Amino acid sequence: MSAREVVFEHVMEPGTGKAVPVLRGQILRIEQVGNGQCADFNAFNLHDYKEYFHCGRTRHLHGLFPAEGDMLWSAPPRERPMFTIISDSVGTNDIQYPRCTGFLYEYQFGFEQHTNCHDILAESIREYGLTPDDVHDSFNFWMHTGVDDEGKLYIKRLLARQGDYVELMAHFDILAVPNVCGADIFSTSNFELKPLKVQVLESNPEDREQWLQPEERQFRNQRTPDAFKVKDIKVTRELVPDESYTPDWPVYPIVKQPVEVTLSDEEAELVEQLRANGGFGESDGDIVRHAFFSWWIEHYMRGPTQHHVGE
Amino acid sequence: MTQTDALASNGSTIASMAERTVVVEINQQQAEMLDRLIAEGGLGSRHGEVIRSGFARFCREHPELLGPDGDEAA
Repeated sequence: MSAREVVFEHVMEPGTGKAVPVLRGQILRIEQVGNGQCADFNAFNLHDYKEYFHCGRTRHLHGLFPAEGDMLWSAPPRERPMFTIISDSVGTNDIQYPRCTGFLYEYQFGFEQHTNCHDILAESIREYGLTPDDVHDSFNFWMHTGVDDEGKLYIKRLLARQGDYVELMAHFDILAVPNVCGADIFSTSNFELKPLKVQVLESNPEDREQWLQPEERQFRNQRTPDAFKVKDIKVTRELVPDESYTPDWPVYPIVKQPVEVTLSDEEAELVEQLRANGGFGESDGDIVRHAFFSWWIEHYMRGPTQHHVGE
Repeated sequence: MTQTDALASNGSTIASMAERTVVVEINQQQAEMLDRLIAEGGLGSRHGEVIRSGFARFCREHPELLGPDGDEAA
């Protein structure tokens, strides 16, 4: 494999972050300088900051702990891959916890001022004219988390060691914003803040062949502002109704239609057995519909089905 | 189960001696999906046939979800 040229390098000291452009096909590399430092991360379309990274869609498509091979997706209605994690030497990342904030440290610990990811990210993106309101939910590299039996989140000791790294290939031009997580009184970074090295690398042909997504949108519903009814970004803070507004719902009205499904006696008995299961609904129609669409999901749906049938 | 019993227990069911007609409500988007399945072929040419076919296949593929006699019934 041919070498990758380093086009940008910066060491983020504790308490800092860095907004850095990563162009399509380039690789963002974040590396541990010390042992065990979480990096919070924001990302924006470099040419349209209203398209930005979305934890929710990423979590939906790749689960609670994305790692090598998974993608970082932009928010609806754009919804396209921004980055692919092409290398991850540890494999513990989090997209459930929100970034820490000044409020959090004041509320939980009584600090008037404390390093926190929101303020660090906000200061980083100020270089590009963005505001604290533009900081969004973060991807948390190396943050080692879990979910307990009651559905509550918890934080474990971070596993990364000096030299561990993540590499992300950009699928379009992006303003990437990593920061040294400011949490030194949670176990997020093992109670010590450490620097992180950020590099931007030119990918080689093998990298692009393996990882780079097509430049064109693959689905009509990966939308652009051209498709918006309101195309301009609102510049005033006050919200007032548009007197000329009339709703224009994308799909409306929703019209129900009855479909008669003729079942044999044996099939009718199956309805009763699914009713006894308890997880398919109450009426015969509900039960047959639930079973039918469950079958359809299992055989035809693209992507993670995340469908649980029955009790 | 007699026809009277069936209607008494569930308004969407009409019983007969050898078969039972179940009314499934779908909307226009779900109908579009059924149309695609009809176009692919193999599951029937009407919405009701497609739903019946998928329902029966689901039950065959998931005996564990059926009642105590599910394996036999499926």
